[in-house]
Amino acid sequence: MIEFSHVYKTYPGPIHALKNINLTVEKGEFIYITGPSGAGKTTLFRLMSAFDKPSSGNISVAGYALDQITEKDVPYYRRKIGVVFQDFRLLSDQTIAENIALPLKVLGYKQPIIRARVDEILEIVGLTDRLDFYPNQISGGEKQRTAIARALIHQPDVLIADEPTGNLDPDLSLEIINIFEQINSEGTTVFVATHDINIVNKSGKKRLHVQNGIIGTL
Amino acid sequence: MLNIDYFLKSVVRSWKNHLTIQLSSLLVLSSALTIVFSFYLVFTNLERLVVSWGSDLEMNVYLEDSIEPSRQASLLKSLEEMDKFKEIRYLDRKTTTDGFFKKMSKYVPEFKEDNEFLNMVPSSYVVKMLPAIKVEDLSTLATNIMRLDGVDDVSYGQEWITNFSVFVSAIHKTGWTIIFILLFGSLFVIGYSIKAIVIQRKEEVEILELVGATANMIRAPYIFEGGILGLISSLIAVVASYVLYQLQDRLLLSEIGLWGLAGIFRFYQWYEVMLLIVVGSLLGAGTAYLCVKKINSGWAVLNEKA
Repeated sequence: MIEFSHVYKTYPGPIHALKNINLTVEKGEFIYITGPSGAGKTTLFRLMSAFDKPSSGNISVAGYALDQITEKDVPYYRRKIGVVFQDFRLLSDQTIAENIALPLKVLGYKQPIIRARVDEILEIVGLTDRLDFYPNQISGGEKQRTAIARALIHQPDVLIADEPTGNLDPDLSLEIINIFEQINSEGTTVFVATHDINIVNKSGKKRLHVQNGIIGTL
Repeated sequence: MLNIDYFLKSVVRSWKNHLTIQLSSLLVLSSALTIVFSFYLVFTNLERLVVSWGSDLEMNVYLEDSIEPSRQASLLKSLEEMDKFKEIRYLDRKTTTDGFFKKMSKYVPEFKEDNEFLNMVPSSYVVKMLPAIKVEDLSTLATNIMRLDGVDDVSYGQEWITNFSVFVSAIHKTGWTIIFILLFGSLFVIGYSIKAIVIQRKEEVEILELVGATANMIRAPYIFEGGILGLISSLIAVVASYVLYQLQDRLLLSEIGLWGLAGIFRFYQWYEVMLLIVVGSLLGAGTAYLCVKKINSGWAVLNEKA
């Protein structure tokens, strides 16, 4: 499902963000990537979501070779994955329902189907009564749940989350992780980058540690 | 695929969130298009006027004194073979003189008995131009007729025709220059408006890229918005041009009526109005496309410098 083979990423400087990354994540696995700030977690995240290309090596996610993917194919790859950011990335002038429905609109689904799927996903993330609210009218935890709902509505094979609990308090963070675990239990591969060790320890899921661009298992 | 409903909502949101930019762009664009449409109307009407006057133009081809009948017949044949005239009428000396005295007798009654004066008045052919003959071609035509055997002189009101042609030509050139400058300026106005909106909506562009929208899907709402801006501006410009036309029509009514111009000057026909609106919309959409061609060259583009 996710495979990194001898992946290097070097930025001008030179800055060696990732060095010889070898990583395999099977379908349906739940993986945490931990490490201090500047370790390379976000670089890993950017490579997996096709926001960047490796300097060398091979990356395969959901059947796409990301080291060779063309700009034209990137949108079709991104439809296979779900991405969650630390800062939520919601559209401030659209309602919660409209934000969540966006991937299905892009895919060309008809309105009745979109409505049904939105209702379904709102129930999963516990935001049924926030349907017509705007992002500035809800809490941080609710915003993150909205972002998760948007990342899941098109039923991606892989969910990638970069510091999803970074802006949340411990209780809300746990809530978010519970949602991820629920999604994972339904078969979605989940990949979470975080520096919150408490969450990782409580979760008990597989953990990979990045330090100075090198990855290892803990 | 994002549908028309999404585009319309996108336009409505854009207008709500960027009302000042949109209104100022609309104002500038409408003003520019009003000037363009009005200018174009003025010189199409002037051209229509020139053609109309040209179709009524006459030329007097004065014959040499004591021209032999055979040479006169040959001259007539040459004039007919030119294929430029819808009518060729012969005026002998007596007819010409009678015509002259009919107009001028109360001012110069003594000339009626003056044989020497009568001998000075030549016979002539009066030729009426075909509608296809343009005013600016008259000078060349006159020169060609002058070369024919038996022709003494040609008269067609040279001075005012030449001056009027030069005037219309100058209006034409000036008008097209102004139109070009204004259309170029309009591109900048539309471009600035769309670019400002794109920058304001950068976050939306990034999120659309994130959820798998293609470049065309991301561009489409902005191109649609540019088209709408062009459409509304054209509609306003057509209405404003019509108001200006009605104003000048009312102001010049007495003069136009006197000159017999009432049936010649007119506003755009319905199909011309439709064409102007389509051109305005395409101008808006086309400019917007040029502005958003590289819309997803921001942070979410694939970094090729691996």
